[in-house]
Amino acid sequence: MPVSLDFIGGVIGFAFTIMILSYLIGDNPLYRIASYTFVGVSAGYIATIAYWHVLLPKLILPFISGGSSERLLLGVPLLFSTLVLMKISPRLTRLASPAMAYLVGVGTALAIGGALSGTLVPQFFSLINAFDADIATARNANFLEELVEGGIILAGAISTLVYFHYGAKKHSEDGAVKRMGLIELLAWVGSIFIAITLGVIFAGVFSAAVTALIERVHVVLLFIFSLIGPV
Amino acid sequence: MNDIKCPICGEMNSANSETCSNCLSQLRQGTDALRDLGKRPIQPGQVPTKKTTSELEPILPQWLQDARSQTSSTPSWQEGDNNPQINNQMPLQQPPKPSVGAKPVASSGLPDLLAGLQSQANEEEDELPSWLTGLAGGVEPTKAKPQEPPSFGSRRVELRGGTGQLPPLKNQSESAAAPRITATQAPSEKRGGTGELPPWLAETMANDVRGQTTDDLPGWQAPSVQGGVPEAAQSVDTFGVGLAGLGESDAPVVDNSFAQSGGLDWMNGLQSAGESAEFKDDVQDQSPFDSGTPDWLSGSGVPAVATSVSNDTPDWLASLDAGPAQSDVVEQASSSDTPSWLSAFESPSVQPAVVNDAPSLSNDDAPAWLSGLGSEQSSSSAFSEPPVAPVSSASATPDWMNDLGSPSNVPVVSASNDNLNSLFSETPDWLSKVEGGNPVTDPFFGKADTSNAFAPGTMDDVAPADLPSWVQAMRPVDTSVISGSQASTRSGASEAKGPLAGLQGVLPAMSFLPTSKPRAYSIKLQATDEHQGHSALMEKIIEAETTPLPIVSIERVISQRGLRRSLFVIYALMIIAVLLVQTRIFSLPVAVPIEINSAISVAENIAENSPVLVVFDYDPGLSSEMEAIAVPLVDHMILLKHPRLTFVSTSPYGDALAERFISVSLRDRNYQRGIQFVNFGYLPGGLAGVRVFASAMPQGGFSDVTAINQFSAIVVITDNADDGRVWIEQTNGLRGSAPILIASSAQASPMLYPYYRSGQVAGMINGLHGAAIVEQRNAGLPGTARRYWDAYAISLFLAVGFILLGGLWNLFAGLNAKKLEAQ
Repeated sequence: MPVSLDFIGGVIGFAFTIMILSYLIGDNPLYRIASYTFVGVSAGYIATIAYWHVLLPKLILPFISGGSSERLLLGVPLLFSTLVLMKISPRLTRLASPAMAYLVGVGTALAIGGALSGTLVPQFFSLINAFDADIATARNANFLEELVEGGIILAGAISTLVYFHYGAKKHSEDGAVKRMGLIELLAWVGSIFIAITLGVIFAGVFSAAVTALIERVHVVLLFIFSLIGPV
Repeated sequence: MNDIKCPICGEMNSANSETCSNCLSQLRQGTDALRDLGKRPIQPGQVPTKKTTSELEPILPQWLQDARSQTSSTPSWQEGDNNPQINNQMPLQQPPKPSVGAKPVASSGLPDLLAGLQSQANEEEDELPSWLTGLAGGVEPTKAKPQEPPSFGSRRVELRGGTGQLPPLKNQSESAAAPRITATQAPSEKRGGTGELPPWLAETMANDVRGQTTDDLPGWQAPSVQGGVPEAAQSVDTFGVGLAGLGESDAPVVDNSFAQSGGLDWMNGLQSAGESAEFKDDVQDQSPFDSGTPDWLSGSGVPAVATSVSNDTPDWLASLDAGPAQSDVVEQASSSDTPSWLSAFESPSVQPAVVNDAPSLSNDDAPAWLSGLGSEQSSSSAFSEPPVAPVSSASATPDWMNDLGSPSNVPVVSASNDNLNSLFSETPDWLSKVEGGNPVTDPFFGKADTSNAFAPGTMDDVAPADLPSWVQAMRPVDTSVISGSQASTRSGASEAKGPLAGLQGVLPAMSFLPTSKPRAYSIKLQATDEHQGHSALMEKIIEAETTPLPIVSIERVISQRGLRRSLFVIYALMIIAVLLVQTRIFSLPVAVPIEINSAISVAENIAENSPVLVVFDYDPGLSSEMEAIAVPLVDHMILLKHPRLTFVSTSPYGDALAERFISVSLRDRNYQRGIQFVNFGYLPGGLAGVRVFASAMPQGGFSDVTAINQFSAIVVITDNADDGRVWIEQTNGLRGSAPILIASSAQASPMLYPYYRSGQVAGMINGLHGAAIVEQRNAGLPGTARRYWDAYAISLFLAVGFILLGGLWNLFAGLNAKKLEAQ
């Protein structure tokens, strides 16, 4: 009786699921075995992916079969890749600094540029446009609703930013260090928005976890059902 | 001198005081301190040292010495007077030494009292007289005999020799007899050679000795004169039983018997004589050196007198008589530090054996004439009178000496016990100076006195500054006039610093009495009540500082294992039950959020067979949720528009997830690789890779799609808000009009929703809720959301219930705690 790969996959999935769930009773070897297995498999998988999907098609094959100009251009990533490998040795780790500096520099520039152009400016305009009736009309949205929604978003944004304002003065009356009253009020409103946001995030995390749990329990049941027959 | 001025503090003290009443310093110094006079000067105010007048002789002015020498010319008996008795004894005892007989004392022509001293002054090499050497323990190398130190008995025999009881010594060993013989013989020889006997004694000797035979002598003297041993044995009857056995017994027995029989009587008489004026007169008038020799002594002959003087008197006194003659007695004495006559008093161990013999010697067997002497005057007995000789140096003071000063200064007072003891035990200061042989520093002028005080040439130059130290000590010197050495000694060292620097002896050092025991200080704290109060307050403060304050610890919120297990069990049982039963208790959501509606609209409005970019940026752990969300959307799109799908992922797992997505979840759609979908797989570089991908599409995809803006839609399936934000940001401005649809996990949707609100994202499908809505639009396919919906809904309700229950529990727990605190 040939054993299908789905069955083997099902068995492995079932076993590792039980092993991971065993963490509920505390740290145990089964949990550690499953964890180490996942780490090892992930590392091997990533290495394989890196080789087959990055190095070989984008560096090795073009360097072998490519022209001189292409090889010359590939020399830069090849050099940097070699320098990055120097981080393996503590004595040669300084050789990887140029490559790392290049990566960090490029990544920081892209992050800042992307944040400005893709997040801050659009979010500013979004907040401003909330009070634009033409835009609301263009979006076939009720302006009043848009105005209220915009107002809440504005209040939430301002109050949340004020909440993270830590500047304060020392009052001469009682000597206590307190923020201004308006700032205190806005910060209190901002704390509400932050609490709601954190609550939403928690709900989303919980929802995602519950969905995953349900899926795992469902998989286990399916495996069991596959063994004992369809229910 | 009625009062004594303290040399330290200047306080006047009574004459009887030994120490100062103010500073308790020593007011008087004994002669012991004068022994090392060369090292330590005599301090003013000290009691004058008791000395015999013979000590004053060297310092007499020259005119006085000349006068004395003129008045007392050398008697005839002193010149070449060889006593035949002595000569007769010589063969018996020991041949006389040439050196002894050659002593030129006879040629000096000095008075008898100064004869020995003058000889000392003349001899450069012998600064000390023989008798003085014997007193000081010096030894003359030329006359020293390599014989054993005389025993105690031998010295007693010397005394006995004076009495003529020498024959018993013949029976003794040679080593012991030799010194005894010389002891009796040498003085006579010296006396004969030097002629120191006074005229009266010389005449007496000339008359009696020459005219007398041994028969005329008393019976007890006869053997000694004859020198025959048998006669000595026969003299037992005359001199007692103890003497009879002298030749057969040990010498100490004889000596002690002698001492008990009368050898010390003269000393007792001396002591008593000091108290009786009669004795004083006798002593002064009847000095054995000038006229004090009794008849019996004259009759006994020179040897008897000489031996009695030389043996019963101190050596120094004997030397006065014998002069510089180096007798064996002196030699013996020089070999011992203690004078022979003094040793007799220091031998109590032998005395008990002789006690019984003493009476017979002194009382019974004494001759008649001796008994008569004893009866007439106890102090002038035959055995007691010769010891007068040492006293005679003081008592038999010559006339010139009597003129020197008052009787108090003259050592006549030495007749008392104290003076007598000090005389025998102390060394004169000037004598100590000579003994040391070192130049003595003058305490007043600080000059080294290198001149010989006994030199004839210096006698005339006796100046007040050259007075002997003991005389200087008598001078009334002011306490402020203290030599440097004295000041440093008494008042301490010079001041090293301060305003008194350089001065010496300014500050009295009398208060500093170094003791071995440190001064005791009371350790009891002298604190007042106020101080104690402050101390208590300080202790309280310190104690409060060190007392640990209770730390108000916030109870850490930890995951309670029991509660966690209970919740898991509840959830697991609930989910298993729902999944097993496949309940449809909870209906799918009807209301469609605007972002989901927009997403469905975009999916429904893409062009047919248009390229759609699908980004798989989620982890395998959330694949169930993400597939539940993305599959209905893509499936709806496939069913409606049959788009060509291009898969790409910034996560390494994206490639596998994409393969699994298309091959497993959309297995029924049977999409073909390369025709209907292309999997670019892993896109390295993170946001940079996204930027590069958005800038330049990699080859291998659909041929008609060379740029990201050529996609009809970009579907980003992600469980991380950052991944979705990267795609939004990095493709901003590059994607053109291509809408972005976000299929995110429920945990990432709140963070991505603003992008939809800003218009950067065309639509969003969030979590299982959004998937359920899309499934409804997709005719219930593939139905995963529906399958999980009841379990999901119940889980949410349970979660809400547990949260509320937990909140209420904490509320009541807090109220209860406050209530308990209030109570």
